[in-house]
Amino acid sequence: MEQPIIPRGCDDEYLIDYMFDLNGYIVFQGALDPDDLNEMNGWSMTTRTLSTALAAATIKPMADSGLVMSRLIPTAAPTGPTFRMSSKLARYSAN
Amino acid sequence: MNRVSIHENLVSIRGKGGYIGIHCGGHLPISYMTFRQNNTGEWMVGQINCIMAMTDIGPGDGPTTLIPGSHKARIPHPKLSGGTKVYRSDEAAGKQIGMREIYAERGDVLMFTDTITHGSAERTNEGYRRMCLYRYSPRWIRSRFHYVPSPELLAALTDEQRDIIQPIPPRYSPSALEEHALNG
Repeated sequence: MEQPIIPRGCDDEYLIDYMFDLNGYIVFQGALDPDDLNEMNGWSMTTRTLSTALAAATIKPMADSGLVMSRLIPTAAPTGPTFRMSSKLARYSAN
Repeated sequence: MNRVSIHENLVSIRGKGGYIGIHCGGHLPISYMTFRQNNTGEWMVGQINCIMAMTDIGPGDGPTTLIPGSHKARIPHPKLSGGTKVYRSDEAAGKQIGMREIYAERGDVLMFTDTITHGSAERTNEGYRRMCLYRYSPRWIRSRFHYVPSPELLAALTDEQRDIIQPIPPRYSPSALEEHALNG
């Protein structure tokens, strides 16, 4: 495996942990829900003065959209995460 | 133990000529530039970046670049061997020794420890690369630009979301509280 790529649907936590530990990075293929992705692209397409406007505006629309943490943090996945860390990484990240 | 908080969220839209210089690495004696706890050997990943590709990112698109394994480096990258040893903005990271461009299709997520030596290549294509970055930190690190979430934002969050957006509420001086009261 040339790159530490984790295919969509892979739940081999040992492999994920090993790849992250060895390389320091991982690519999760197709990790974003397509509906979320379209919404996120909507934010950027409607905001043209980016460098200043987004710095102030990004946090609020992310949180208001409802996609924020429920999809991205390891401990909160009420509807089934589209992207999740392994349990070991969740336990030790920023531990 | 130290729990998780949001250090920074951003959307980056990179046009032609845009890039980020080389920065970070396992050599840095910075408290959150950690990967393992030295005494126990357990993971203690100080910061984690999740870059979400909103467009396909390939050669010439200004992709993120990194040096695999450099989160364990004990000596600085040659480009970082002088000065602050933290960041060099004079040219794109993609030009530096050992760098690998990370390509992605829209919807892919690149997750990496902020300790890894990284940056980006210069975008040479027309058009724009769009990505969204979430960076997670230990809860005791303030958010990067020290924004204070609005009451409206906090009210819209679940307890779990609020706990990582504002894990430690700000404590204002009496004069600042008075000013807030006067300004409504």
